[in-house]
Amino acid sequence: MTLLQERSAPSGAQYPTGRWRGRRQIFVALTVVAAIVAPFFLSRVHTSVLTQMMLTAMGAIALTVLTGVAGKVSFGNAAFMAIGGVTAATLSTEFGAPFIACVAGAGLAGGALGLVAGLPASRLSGLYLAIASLALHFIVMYAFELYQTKSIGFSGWTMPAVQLPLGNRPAVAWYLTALMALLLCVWLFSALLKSAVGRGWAALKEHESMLASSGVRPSRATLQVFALTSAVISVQGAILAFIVGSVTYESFTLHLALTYLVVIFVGGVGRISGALVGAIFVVGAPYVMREVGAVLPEGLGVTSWYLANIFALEKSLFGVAVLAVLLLRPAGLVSVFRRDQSSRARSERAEGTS
Amino acid sequence: MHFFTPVVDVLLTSMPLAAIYALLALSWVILFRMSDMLNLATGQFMLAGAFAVYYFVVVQGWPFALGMAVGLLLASVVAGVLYLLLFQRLAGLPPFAVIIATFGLAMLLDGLLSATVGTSSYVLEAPFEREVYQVADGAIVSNTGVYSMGFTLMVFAVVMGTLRFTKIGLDSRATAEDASLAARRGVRMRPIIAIAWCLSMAVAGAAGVLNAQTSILSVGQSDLGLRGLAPAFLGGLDSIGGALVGALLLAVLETLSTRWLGGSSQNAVAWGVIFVVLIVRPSGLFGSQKLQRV
Repeated sequence: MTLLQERSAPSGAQYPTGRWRGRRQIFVALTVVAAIVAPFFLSRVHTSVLTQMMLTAMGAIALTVLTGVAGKVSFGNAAFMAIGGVTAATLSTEFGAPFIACVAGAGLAGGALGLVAGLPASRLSGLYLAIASLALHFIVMYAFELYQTKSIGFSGWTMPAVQLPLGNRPAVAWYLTALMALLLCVWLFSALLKSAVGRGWAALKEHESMLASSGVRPSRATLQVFALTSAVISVQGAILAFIVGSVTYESFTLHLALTYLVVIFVGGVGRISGALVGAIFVVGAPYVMREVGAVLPEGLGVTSWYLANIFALEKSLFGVAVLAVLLLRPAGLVSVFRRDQSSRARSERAEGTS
Repeated sequence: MHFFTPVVDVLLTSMPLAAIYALLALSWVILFRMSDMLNLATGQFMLAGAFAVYYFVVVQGWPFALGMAVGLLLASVVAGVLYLLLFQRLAGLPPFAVIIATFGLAMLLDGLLSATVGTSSYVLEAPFEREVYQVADGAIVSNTGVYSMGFTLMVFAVVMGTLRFTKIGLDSRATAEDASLAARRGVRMRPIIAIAWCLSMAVAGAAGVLNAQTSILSVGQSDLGLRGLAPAFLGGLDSIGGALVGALLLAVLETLSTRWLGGSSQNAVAWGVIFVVLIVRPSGLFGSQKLQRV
């Protein structure tokens, strides 16, 4: 068990000691306060970009726990977001359920499907599990498409408006909702990763039979981590559906699922902070590129070319970022901010633990 | 109408798709055998090769065969350089990180392609007149299908022959079998894997050319490359002959599902089959069992 504990520590929870622990808590508390106050001083556009970042981070945290900590590779984010979205849409439009009930229902539905997705995970490993989740994505999306065309029609569901506090400033209200969801998610997973349950998940990646011999059932831990992370991703999908205002199967592409993998790998796989940093990059970069386009001098050939090809450039930037991070910083962008180890040691560990 | 006619009809109808799938599956299999990697950029490889051919054949007006050869050669050199510059240096990362890197490559290529050729559709005419033959009562076949299948079979024959009878083939089979053992026996890995990348790109590009002749050529078609993982997996990810069989099976299945369930069921059927194969027989129909990774 000592081996399990030692090796699970770097991939999941971190244990700051001594004076760092106190400073870290102050830093976290200040950040949270700043995040709560921020939307009251920001423009609507900035507020909604931050909202998107926080929701993306939520899905990415779930994925990084599943893929980075427990080693269960998944292309399933888009499918689980879709489950969340479609559950929330059905509950709210058909049954008139309130927001919170829709979100809870989405979590339950996602958790249930997560259990199903976790079943082959006990039998398959590595690339095969990745392919299974790819297959699951396409099957879920086909079912979604059939359900949508049968029940509501091609254009999809329109979500009802939600009565939130601060109703005159919906952007701020959604921001605070997303912040609350993200904080809950961070708190939940960081607490779990420090607990015996989380160490069991981390051990899944290292050695399943060793885990079995130390009294934890691997299949049970696998189902746990699948159900919980899938539920969180579905909740994220449900909240996002309310914010966007519509749900249609066409928005949940495989590209979306892969984007979440980019988030966790660019940020630093297996770390909650990595998911946060990755979300800031992936949501922030396209926004910054649009801002750059707005300040470029008008009339120049470069400017018109830039604006005409902004989607292509965005994709290229993402591609370059992924390749650059994997080449230069295999442990992710978050490793840039950590001073305690040399980069070589980190990259070696990234190889060793994965 | 003979009893066999519907069967023959379905087989013939699915032939062009089977030819495209077979080449795409071959592209996946070649890279998987060499370095245990899944190349998510296969769709972009397909398009890059096809657009290179388009450039020489349509823009430069070269004869079709020459333009295709030069275009695919050029594209495959780019793939080899990509391996040597980038992916060779990622070799130490866990397999899944390498897959994410290929997704990064896919996005980069996608962005570059969209920025250069745009999102419009291009037509790459076949070098022969289109004809349709009546085979039996109600069963027809186009010469596009016949030529595509013939070309694909030729590519498979060449690849399998090369693997079987040449020094490079022997080295690459040894690498596929056990990389570290092969390296210790003096096989130089880097050129072998670089050649595999070149070949994978050339084969994917050829699939792109076939696809351009049955439909159109546009950046939006990269998803087809990803679907090529389905036949590759069905046949066994490390089996070249299996790729051909998997492609035939899957093309027939998709033709049937399109008839019975409608066009949008294609993807779901392909991946549904994969899901079942994964549960029942993870190494595919013809894959070797040692593939089980722990």
